[in-house]
Amino acid sequence: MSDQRPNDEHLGRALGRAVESQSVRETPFSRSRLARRLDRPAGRGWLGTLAVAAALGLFVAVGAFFVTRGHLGVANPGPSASPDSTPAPAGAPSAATSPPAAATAGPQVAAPEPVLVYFGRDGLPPVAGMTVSSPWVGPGAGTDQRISARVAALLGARPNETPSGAINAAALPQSGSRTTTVNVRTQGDLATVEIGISDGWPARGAAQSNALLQQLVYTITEEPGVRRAMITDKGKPTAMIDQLVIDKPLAREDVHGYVAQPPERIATAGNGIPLRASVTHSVDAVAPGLARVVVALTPSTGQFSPLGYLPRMSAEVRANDERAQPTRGKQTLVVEIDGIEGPASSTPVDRAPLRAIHFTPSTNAARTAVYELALDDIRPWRVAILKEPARVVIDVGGHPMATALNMVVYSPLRGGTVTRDVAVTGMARAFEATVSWRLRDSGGREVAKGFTTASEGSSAVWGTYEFRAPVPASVSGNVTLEVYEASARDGSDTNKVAIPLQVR
Amino acid sequence: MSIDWRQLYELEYPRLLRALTAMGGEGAAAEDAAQEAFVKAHTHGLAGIERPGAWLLVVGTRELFRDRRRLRRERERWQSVGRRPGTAEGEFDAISDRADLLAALRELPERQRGMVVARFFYGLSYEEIAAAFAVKTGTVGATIHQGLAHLRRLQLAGHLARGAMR
Repeated sequence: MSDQRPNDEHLGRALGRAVESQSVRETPFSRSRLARRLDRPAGRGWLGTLAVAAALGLFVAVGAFFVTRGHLGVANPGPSASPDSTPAPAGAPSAATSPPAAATAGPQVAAPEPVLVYFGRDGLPPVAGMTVSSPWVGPGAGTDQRISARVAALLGARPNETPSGAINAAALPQSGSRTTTVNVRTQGDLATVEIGISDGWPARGAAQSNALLQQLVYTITEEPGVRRAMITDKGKPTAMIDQLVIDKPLAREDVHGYVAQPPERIATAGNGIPLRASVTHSVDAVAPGLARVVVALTPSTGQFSPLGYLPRMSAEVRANDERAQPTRGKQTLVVEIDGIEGPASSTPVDRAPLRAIHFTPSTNAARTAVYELALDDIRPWRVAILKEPARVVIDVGGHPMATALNMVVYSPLRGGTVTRDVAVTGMARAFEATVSWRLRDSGGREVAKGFTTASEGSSAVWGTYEFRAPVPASVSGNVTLEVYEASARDGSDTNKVAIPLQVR
Repeated sequence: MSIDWRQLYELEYPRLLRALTAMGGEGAAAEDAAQEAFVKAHTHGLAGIERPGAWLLVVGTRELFRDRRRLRRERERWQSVGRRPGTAEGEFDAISDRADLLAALRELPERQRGMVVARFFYGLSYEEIAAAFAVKTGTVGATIHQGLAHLRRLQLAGHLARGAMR
């Protein structure tokens, strides 16, 4: 060590700093090969593990739609009959489970089956994912047993089962002599779930606690017919997850983080000529937490109208009872468009919040075709109609913090790094289609402002907007972009969305 | 049991990935080698590894270069197309100095690369490096000295080349 020349030491240290300052993309432990290996029985080579993981992935993907989503809630949980299908003993509607014990399942225990649970995301509503870590309860199981099994599976889910971009704030460390009990009692649309974890809830801090609560409420209410969850700590009337006190039944809409949107029906009058439609969809692509379905329309008979061919359409959300209609989701966004022809179809999507898109052609004189979007919950949704080519754009969700009652910002993303010329896109329903914006520096001072015109004004149909906000050269670091509608009455800010950004 | 592995991963993975990225210059190959090093450590058993940090670095380095040898021919084809991987055109001198240094590091013979990084990024002593790489302590000193001399020449060349382009 001491036989190094000072010059060498100097160069060496510079090199050390250069190595340190490289930008690298780190893989969290939960997604590391090591973690995946630890989850599999020892003594198998890495190649073997890979093959198992790949096979598992395929199984899970198939299971996601056909097993759990499709039939589980109805009568039959799935095609594979598990050996342990005994129903719960009479008079004991609860099932107690201990997730760590599942890892050492003996031959008497049912084979693990994919179970649908929900994983948390930072600031966004949860996403559905599959876990196979818990033995499933078999075809004869009742509602309570299924809910109990899902909650136990969530608590016992392994790190590698968390979808990318999500967290499992409910995951219990898989070690020690921890005991977990889950007792479920369902009455009507309310499931009361008593959870006992010997070392307490795993979540710490507000972000984790909120994610855990969202995960629990969504996972519990995944059961068809159940809309609300009352979560209690074992032996207590309420539950306390870190600082979060839960003392009343919660629906998905109570925890998803969006502003409540009053029920509404969006409708337009059109010229009703026969149309041919092609449908595309995306989830989390345009903006995080956003499902978008685009119905592109062309006249099917070659008719041409100088006024364009605006479709006559209407859209509204209806609560669905999955016990009667298992493929229509918890909520169905029903979009009726006149004049569309074509055969009936169903397209599975299965990325929260959009489960599937169903198309039913018309049977009436107006050829009113129906698109049904099977959804996981009601979150703010909007319809925009674009011209040339004619498209009906149906958006569900967005980032909860970028969503106001009549305003949504899709980009830039919250917390993102932007250049001096910020590209802003979104939708609005603003008075005279005027969308205002301003930039504030880190001290809250207004450093730039302007306005743009959306494609529609304050109609039921939303307008789209797109503009560029130049950042003055004197400003850098943390800024806040505010997009809002200046009130027609007194000019005050309404429908304001604030997006924190970093200017580089 | 799995807690120990997690701790080890969270402690050692970030610097291992950086070290391998510096040595290999490619994110995907470095990531593969780092992941594989942990899997190998698991196969080996934690009990049999005295200094896991150095052990992972040596195994990771071996993985990285084993893959690289296999990929070398492919990469040569790449370079003939005209893109030279691993050279960053920094906007600022401090950054381009670092880029020069890292680019120069990747020009060193493999063993020199591993030992220089072990010494100056991991801060291991000559004795520790000797034990990890299974060589004599004197060899470590000589190899690192050669490596640095080589590095200095390459870095200087990089400086001059950039200066000439301005």
